[in-house]
Amino acid sequence: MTSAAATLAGLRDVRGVEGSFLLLLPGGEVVTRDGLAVVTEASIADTSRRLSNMFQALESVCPGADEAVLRFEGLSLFARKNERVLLAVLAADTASMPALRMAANLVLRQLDGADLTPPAATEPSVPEPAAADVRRRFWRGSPV
Amino acid sequence: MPQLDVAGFAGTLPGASIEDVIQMSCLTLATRAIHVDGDGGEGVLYIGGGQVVHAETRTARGEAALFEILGWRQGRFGIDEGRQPPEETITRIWQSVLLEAAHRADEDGRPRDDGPEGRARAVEASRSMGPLDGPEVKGWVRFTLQGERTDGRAPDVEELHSCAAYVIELSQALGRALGLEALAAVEARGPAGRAVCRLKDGIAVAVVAGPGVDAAALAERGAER
Repeated sequence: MTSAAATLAGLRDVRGVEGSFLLLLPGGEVVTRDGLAVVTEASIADTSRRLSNMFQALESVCPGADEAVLRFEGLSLFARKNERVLLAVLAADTASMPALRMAANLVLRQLDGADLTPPAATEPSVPEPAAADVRRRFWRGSPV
Repeated sequence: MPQLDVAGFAGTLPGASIEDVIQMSCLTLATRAIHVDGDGGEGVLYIGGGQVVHAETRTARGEAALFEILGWRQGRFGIDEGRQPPEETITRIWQSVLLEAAHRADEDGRPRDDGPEGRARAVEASRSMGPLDGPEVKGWVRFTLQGERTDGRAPDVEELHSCAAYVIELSQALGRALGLEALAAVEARGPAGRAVCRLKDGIAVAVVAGPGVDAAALAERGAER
């Protein structure tokens, strides 16, 4: 486990956090991830690219926006960014948003200055799930 | 309670109602006290930064006093420009308060000085007012998920509409990739303010507001209209 991954694991101290991942800006390359075992590397990469685009789009109506919350049924995706990286956290909608916000701030602070080179794209750090797992759904914060 | 002995303008405006004076004060983002000597008594309204923030009469304070004053049929008023409110007892946006006053007047069936035409005008004007029309909202837009804009107000409403529609598409695609369904809202915040897009029954409402404003609650109320 890299130090960045260990730092991300600390987010799970907030009740309801399912997992998280970290990506570099502005390109959206995934640096590391924690949890989210049923989510494929390709899905994480797609999500990263879309989050990066979303913050760029938000700039026109909410200049300097550095936080976004996407609320889905049962789960929310919390995203926080600074000049260098974007942290995305998947959490149950019952998770404490103030606690999550503070935890995300701490993670970004702890990663400040760390070596965040994205891993080589050849071997995924997390095994790809079986085909059936790719279609797994969450309900009220739990995989079903 | 301060008396009608003010440093600014004082007098009567035939044909105008106290609602007109309040509306004019709020639209110009004024800070002032409006002293009213009416047929029902004396009172004072405080406007702070374009919002009605306090009211007093001899018998009431807050919204109760405001509604009492708005119920008076005729009188004189004086404006004490720049006067700061001694306290804040009214927190609703001014459009909401005037709308309720119009409803109360209708329920009372009481004829006003401005007559049936003026009353009809007030009710008609109040129809376009809503939680999204307050000065704390920088812009808003309401549109269907198919992309058709139904209404909105913003410095560049087309830009806001386009941005919100794109963010929704991105969020839904992102949700599908992660196995998430039923996007309910997207919220963004930064030093300059907040932006919220709320989805409900095939309709999206996007709201941009200043920092410290509960834009999510405004969007929720906007989606319920």
